[in-house]
Amino acid sequence: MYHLRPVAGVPEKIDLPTCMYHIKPMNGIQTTSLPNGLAPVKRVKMDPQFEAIEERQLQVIARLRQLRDTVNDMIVKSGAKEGQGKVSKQAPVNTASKASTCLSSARPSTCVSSVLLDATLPSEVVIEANPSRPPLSLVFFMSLNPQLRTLTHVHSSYSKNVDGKLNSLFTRDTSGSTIRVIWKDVNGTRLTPLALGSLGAEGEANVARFLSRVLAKPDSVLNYDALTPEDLVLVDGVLESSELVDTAPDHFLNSLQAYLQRRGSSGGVSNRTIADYVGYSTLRYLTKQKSQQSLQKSLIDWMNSLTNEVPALC
Amino acid sequence: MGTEEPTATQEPQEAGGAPSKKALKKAAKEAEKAAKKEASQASRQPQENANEPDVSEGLYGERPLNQSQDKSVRKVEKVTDLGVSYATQTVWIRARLHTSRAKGKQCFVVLRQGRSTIQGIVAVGEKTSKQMLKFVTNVPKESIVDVRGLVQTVPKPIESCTQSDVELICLEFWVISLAEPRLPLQIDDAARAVTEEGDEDALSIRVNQDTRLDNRILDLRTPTNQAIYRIEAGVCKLFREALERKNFVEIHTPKIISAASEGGANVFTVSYFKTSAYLAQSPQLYKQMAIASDFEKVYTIGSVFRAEDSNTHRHLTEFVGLDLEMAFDTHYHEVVDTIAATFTEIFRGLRDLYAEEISTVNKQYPASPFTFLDPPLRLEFPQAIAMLREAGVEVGDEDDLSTPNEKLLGRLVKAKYDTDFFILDKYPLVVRPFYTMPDPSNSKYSNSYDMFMRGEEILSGAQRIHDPKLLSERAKHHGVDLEKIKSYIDAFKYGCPPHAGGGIGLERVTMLYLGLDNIRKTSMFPRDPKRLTP
Repeated sequence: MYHLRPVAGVPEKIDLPTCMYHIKPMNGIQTTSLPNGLAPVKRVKMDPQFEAIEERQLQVIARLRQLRDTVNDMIVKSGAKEGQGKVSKQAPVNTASKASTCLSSARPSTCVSSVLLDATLPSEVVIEANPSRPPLSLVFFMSLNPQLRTLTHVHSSYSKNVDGKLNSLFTRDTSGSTIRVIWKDVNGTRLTPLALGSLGAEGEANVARFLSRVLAKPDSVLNYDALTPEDLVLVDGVLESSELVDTAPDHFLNSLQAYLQRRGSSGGVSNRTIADYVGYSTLRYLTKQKSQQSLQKSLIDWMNSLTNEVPALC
Repeated sequence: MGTEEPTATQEPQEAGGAPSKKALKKAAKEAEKAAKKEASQASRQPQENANEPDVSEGLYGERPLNQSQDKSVRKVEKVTDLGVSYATQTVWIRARLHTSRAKGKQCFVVLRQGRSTIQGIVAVGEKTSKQMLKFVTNVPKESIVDVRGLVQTVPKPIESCTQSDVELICLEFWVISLAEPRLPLQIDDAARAVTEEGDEDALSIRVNQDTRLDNRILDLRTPTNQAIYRIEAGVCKLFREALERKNFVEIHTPKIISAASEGGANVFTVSYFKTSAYLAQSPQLYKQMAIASDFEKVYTIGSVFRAEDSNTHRHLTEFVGLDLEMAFDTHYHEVVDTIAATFTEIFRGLRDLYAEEISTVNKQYPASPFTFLDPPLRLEFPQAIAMLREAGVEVGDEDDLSTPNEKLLGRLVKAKYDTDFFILDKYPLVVRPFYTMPDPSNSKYSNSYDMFMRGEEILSGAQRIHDPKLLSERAKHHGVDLEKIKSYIDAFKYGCPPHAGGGIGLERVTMLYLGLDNIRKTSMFPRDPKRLTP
């Protein structure tokens, strides 16, 4: 309507500010002020210190790639099976693959050498347990490796007497790696942290998982990581239900029955998983509270077969 | 003839109605008279009371000095025994007057005997006079008194006394030993618990350590100190009992010796007739001589003197050493196991027999309960080094552990094994004394061991070299003058069985068991570079 003459000296086009305070970009990437992110990215000159850090990081990544390739070559050269222990390009933390043999098709064998354990623990292992529910699964690990050294202590918080037979069962002084069992007034079994900053493990099931991973051969069904997914379901069923045996004993018995049915009646050391050992320990605890007469004959026979493997358990 | 009542007199008024000067003077005189009368009436009142018959006469007062002039026998009860079972009984007790508080015609007293306290009441009545009440009110705190009283139950527990369900109606009150009215420290202040900051209800009055030690006689009367020294006596007793059961023989070694026990300059010199002698740093030489004399297993409990100018929380210049030495059959671990079992018996005994005393100490000085394993945890020196390195400490394979490293190791062991007591075996040879037996399988290590409580060393021991030739070699290697230790080496010239041993400090073990922060709390009359009294 009314055209005004422009104020003298003011340019027609003025660049308005896009922000309150402008600071230099830290990552060397500068975008234009368009809000929709479609603006072209242009790299500006970075701080030399950041450039140096980035350069070093790229070098470290390259060296790690080289190392991975070297390790893979060494594994192939040493004759390891394909896919076992190979460092995956996705680099998962736990790289042990599942054994091709699953529980139901495993040939029964009384030969111990196929599951003979490596007695090299990362450091001294400390297990806290209540004498009223001793972790008998540990006794089986001990019997599979005669070099494993186990010592027992009674903690000052436990003022009752510990049965001498129980102490003898868990004590063996050899020259191998050491597991210390500390009898304490605790609920259940507990593995104390091996190193600063690491976590321990609660419950006999988790302790058995740890020991099987560390002590059993990678291809043995005793190694928790070697189980197929189908077998894991049954094994985990026994392990998890064993922790709840005080409140749901029937659930534990059903899980154990299902596991034993799947495994078949074929016994033998090479066919045992940690579900056998933890299940046995839990069943012994259960029968201490209730009579053994209420158990099915198959369970009693299975228990006796395990007891025969370690006569000290009688 | 009494005071005459002031008579009103009419004085002629000055013109205008204002009182005259004479009238004013008279009024002032009368006021003065009235004031004097009041004062004389007030002073006459006690005399009037004194003139009242004292129904408690012969039931209170200060007893003459006890010079054993009287051999009468009476039954005196322990305050700690007084409870509901004594209700309606009349008993005699001897205790200290802990506090007294008068209120009108009553006086509440708290009587203390050791760690036990009971409330007493003195109330004016048919059998108790005002004079007795006044006497009791004026007895200074800490005086020793004999009280005969009627035990009666109370409707509500008396929280401030250990005997909370009864009180004593005082019928007789006698002072046996009067205390000075002004005390250098109050027992209540010395017994006050260490509270956290921010506890607004708690009093902030504390007695510092030097004041306690300067007035030790009073400080030792607190329930906490009564408990601490009973626990310390328990350590000594349990040590003796454990070793007696293992057929050890107690010996007593000399404390005035001609040569420094362990070498070094940390010895006190005493003048000995025309020459000088030293106070023994440890009984080691004599323990070993006893072994060479076929005593097989010996122990000794006695003072140890170390002239170290260490002003720390865990050093004293004089302390009580509990030492043992034992001949073994094949391996020095027989001795280590014996010492370890002895410690387990001591800790278990304290836990089971002194729980009340430990609880009393924890009320004033809170600490976590002492935990231990049976059998005790035994680690080897390389394992300890590995644990420290894992925690980020840089330490060489053969370096001795510094005090901070020892404390860190204690914390790491506690975190992993949940024990405050452990044994560290196979120390590097280079950091041990010359008489330590080298490890036969690894010349860098030795058959020596230390034991720790709450991360602090309490025992240093080893298998001793019992062969004079090897002993001389090791002494030369360490640069020790053989002439100075000639008598020590000669002790092994006529045959000596293989043996090992160690020694602990009684005060340090007690301090660490209870989780206290200073060794002076467990030494009744401590000696350090700055203190020689009391």
